[in-house]
Amino acid sequence: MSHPHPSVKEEASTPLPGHIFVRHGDLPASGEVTFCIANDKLDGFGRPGRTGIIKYDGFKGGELLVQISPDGQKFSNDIHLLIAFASYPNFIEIKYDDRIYIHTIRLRGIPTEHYSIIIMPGRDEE
Amino acid sequence: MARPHPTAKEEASTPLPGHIFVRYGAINATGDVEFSVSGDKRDGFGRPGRSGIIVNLSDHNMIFQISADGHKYSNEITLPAFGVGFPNFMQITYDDGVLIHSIRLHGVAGDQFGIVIAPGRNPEGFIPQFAPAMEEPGPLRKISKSKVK
Repeated sequence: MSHPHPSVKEEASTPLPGHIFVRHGDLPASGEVTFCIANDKLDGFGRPGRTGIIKYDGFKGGELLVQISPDGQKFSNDIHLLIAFASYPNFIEIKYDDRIYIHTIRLRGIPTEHYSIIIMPGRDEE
Repeated sequence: MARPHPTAKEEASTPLPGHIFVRYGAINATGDVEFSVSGDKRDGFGRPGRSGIIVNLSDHNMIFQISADGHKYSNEITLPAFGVGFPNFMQITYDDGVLIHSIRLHGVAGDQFGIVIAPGRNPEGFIPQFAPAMEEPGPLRKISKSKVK
């Protein structure tokens, strides 16, 4: 986890333009974890992200199931990310031109398996 | 590291539009290295970069963080060791909407890294320029003086 500067406690709860949302860790015992990018108090943009990478670093077997929601309520069907090194690709990359709103991400898989998420706000509309 | 021309001391302290910020080297003894892309006196843009690439050239995992304002840093992004994992680099494009004010690298002392940051295009984007409409030249005419009275 990042260590924000001691003097920026207030700013940390305020969406920072151009900030990057990064999470990585192990799936909990329930096998499910959810990230609300739009409203996260530490790193949220105050709006859905537009680009990013979701990566599965598991090696025990099984798949990581990814769902993306543009509004935090209606989720996509499952996107299957395959086990690292055994198959390719083990990640999904979303670009600005894909026109996806990444409000919330839900991950499901085998507990203790590792995942990585990098979500970026996307440039301003022109 | 880049070596500016000896006569360019003054210019080097002034942000140069369209310049590119490039650093490569080894993680120092503390295992930590930091670059202020925005405020660097030699190559800084005077504002955060908008695109670029960060590469891990070593045999160990490397961690980096990006700050949009020089104070608040992102969580750690891990770049796998070269040849072990994929990808061992991260590319940021203008469309990602990320402001790269500062970059902080953590790794094993002596491990090699590469950073290339570009300023990004202006926010207003491409403005098409149209040439003003001009009248088509008509046929050349000659008026003889004898007909003018």
